[in-house]
Amino acid sequence: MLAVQALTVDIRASRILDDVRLEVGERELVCLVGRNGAGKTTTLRTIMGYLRPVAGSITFRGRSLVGLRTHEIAALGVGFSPEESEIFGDLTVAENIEIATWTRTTARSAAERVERAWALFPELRAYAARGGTQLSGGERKMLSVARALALDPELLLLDEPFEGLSPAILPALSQSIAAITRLGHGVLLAESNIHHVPEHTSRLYVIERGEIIFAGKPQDAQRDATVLRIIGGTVS
Amino acid sequence: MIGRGALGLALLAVALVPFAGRAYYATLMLPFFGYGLALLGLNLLFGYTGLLSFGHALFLALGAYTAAYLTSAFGMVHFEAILVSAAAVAAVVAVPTGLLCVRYVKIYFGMLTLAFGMLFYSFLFKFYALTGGDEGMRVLRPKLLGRGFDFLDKVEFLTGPYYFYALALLVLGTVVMWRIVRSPFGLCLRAIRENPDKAAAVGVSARCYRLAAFVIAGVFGGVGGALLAVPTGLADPLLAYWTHSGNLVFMLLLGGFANFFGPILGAFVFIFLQDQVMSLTQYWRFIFGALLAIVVICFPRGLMGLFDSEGASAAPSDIHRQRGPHGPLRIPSQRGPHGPLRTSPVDTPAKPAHEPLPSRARPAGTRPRPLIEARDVVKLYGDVVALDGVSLAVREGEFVSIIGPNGAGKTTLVNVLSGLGKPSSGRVTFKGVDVAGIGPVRLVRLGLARSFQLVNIFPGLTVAETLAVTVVSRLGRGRRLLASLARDAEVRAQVGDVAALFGFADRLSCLAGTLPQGDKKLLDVAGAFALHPDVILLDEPTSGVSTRDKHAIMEVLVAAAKRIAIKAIIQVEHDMDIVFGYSDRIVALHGGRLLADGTPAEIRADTHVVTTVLGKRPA
Repeated sequence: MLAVQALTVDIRASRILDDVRLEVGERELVCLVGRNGAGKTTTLRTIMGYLRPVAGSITFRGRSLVGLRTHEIAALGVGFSPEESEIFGDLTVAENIEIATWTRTTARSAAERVERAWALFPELRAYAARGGTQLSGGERKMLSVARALALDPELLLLDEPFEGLSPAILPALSQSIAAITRLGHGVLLAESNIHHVPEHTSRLYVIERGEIIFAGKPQDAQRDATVLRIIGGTVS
Repeated sequence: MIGRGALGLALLAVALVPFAGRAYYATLMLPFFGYGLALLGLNLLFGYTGLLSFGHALFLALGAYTAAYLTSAFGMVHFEAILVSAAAVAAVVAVPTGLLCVRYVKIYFGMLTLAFGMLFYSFLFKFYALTGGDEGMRVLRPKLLGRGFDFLDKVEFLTGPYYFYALALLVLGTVVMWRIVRSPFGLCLRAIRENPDKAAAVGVSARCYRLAAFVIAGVFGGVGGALLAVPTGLADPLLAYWTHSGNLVFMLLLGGFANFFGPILGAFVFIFLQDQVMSLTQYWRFIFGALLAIVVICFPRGLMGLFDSEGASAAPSDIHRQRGPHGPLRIPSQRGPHGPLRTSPVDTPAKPAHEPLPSRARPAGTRPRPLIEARDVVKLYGDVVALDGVSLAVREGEFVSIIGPNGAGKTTLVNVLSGLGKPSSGRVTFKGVDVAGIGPVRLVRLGLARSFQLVNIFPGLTVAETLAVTVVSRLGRGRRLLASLARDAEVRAQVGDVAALFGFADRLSCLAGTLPQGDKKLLDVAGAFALHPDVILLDEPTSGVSTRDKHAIMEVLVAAAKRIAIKAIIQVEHDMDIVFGYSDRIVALHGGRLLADGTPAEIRADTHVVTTVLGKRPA
């Protein structure tokens, strides 16, 4: 559903992405793994229309996303949970989630979409009436992912969804992401920590210094010496 | 340098105007000198400190009326005395108005300054006996350097001695302001513009510095106003009217506030454009309105923005100017010696992580006094109970990790300990002093520093400048108004040290806002270390980086802590490898309450904690 071809992006005249190619198919969970500064966030932000590529194409369901504005891309069905969460501080938790149902209408009812978002992080429900700024860092992260899901996107872009979350809820989130793909969504997940890559990942891309250096099954990545050297498979 | 050449040429051209035949252009230049000075001050406030005043004409009026009073009421005609008095009067008024205004920012600051300006306008207008009301007051011809130049007629005086006197004053003012913005003080102002909360966290009090900038801007305005009043020969209430303040802001935008010389260029272009357009049509205000709209929409960086295309925003200081590649995180090798950095004698380059921090002369068998202690701390946010009676004491030599599920109150605890939030009840002491809610600025002075969970940087400052702010704060250099930051070898050396330690040495001139996420956080941590605190609080210092890099960062942290003799580290962390690998003690929070407090071994054996925090049964 998403095909990124030969994507090249410069920021302030320095090359951040160089010839990045990746694909996300229906019901696929695709992980983009790389060290800090490798270009993961830039990749997602470029797909989302925040940055304009110098060269290359981004097609979503046969339609080019290059040149579209961020809100148009979101309306086409691409949900995004940014690295910094970027929740709306002046809205309550419930409003943060509902807002996504107003900006895009889909076959599912608003109530159903909100319900699915709550189901992703049941602990958020207790804070429904709380203001966005009253949330802790980890709760903001959850809300950001829940809000992206409430858009009922066909493709979900998650930038470091596990960051700042307690290890206690990581397995549950991992399973929830799997459930999202079973519902028919594609998920592209950027992650700096290889340990967080969910088991059911369909395909793994490793990015280093703006270039994709590995594409394939997660198990193969664990056997690839270059990959291991860069992202550090095990520590202990 | 092209810039310097252009500046010299411009200065030469201005100096030659009186010899260029018609006196008309020379008289037109006179207001430029006054406005130039006033705008240098206004831009210190807006371009460098981030506060836009809509009432700055107040200070020009103060200067003009001071000149009028002294010359026509007291017969004091020595211009030097007039200028000094104008500066003094402006400062005397700026301190109380500034005290009230700088408590607020953005639109509130603008509205308050507007209100004070209009208040003064009404005073000038209504107190006829004192100020001459709408007729204003006459400003008599002053003596320059004790000489009256009585043999010259008015135009000859103004386009002759007075012209060069005013020009010299503008040059002097420019040099002084140039030094101010490049001083440690100027760097602190820019840090406050970028992020006042973060500035406070490294010990730079936004309110004090904003007040200082406000007073300096007022003094420049007062001197500029006195300079303006002599050619017109009159001080009238319209000088304080809000449209006059609006013109000042227009000049600032026209020239470009992001450049040091922008406001001066703006004043020049404004005056000549106004002269030309007014002679063409009576609808000049219409034309100027359209022009302002065009400038804001098409040239947000003003005329100066057309010349310097890249960077140069509000004069970044010269410290460490080399351009580094914009590469990924590079942590220096753990094994290798850490370069020239030797602030305390360390025999071995890196000790094992689990070894305790150096605690000074601890007699065997006695527990040292707590450095930082929280007792029964409760913190409410509205009806949300974030902390519910937490007690915690951290002693010298300890590395304490705070763990717990999301929303357990970890960050709130760090905030309360670092003086950011006042506890709703309970006591917080640091080195025996009650520090509940005293704020980060004073806590930094007492020896406590922290880093933040969410990215908290100065986006528009370079890496070197970011670290320099902390070093300047620690060394107490912030009061140095006229010293050159670039030539401060001690600041430079310490910035270099901490940058080398944290792997930023090759990216000193990168803007902090362009760094990758993990590096932004690491820069925050590096800044906290650069404060050389006794106790450091780190809120998830390694989130967002890969496991491999996490360990490298932790090694750097522990090595840095030893080198600068940090007595205790408190960190919030989710990664249990890190928590168990580095801590002497672990504190687990859950639902705002203390769940457990013990050694790593005790915590590992506590099934309740393990299931709550890790979500699984111990293996």
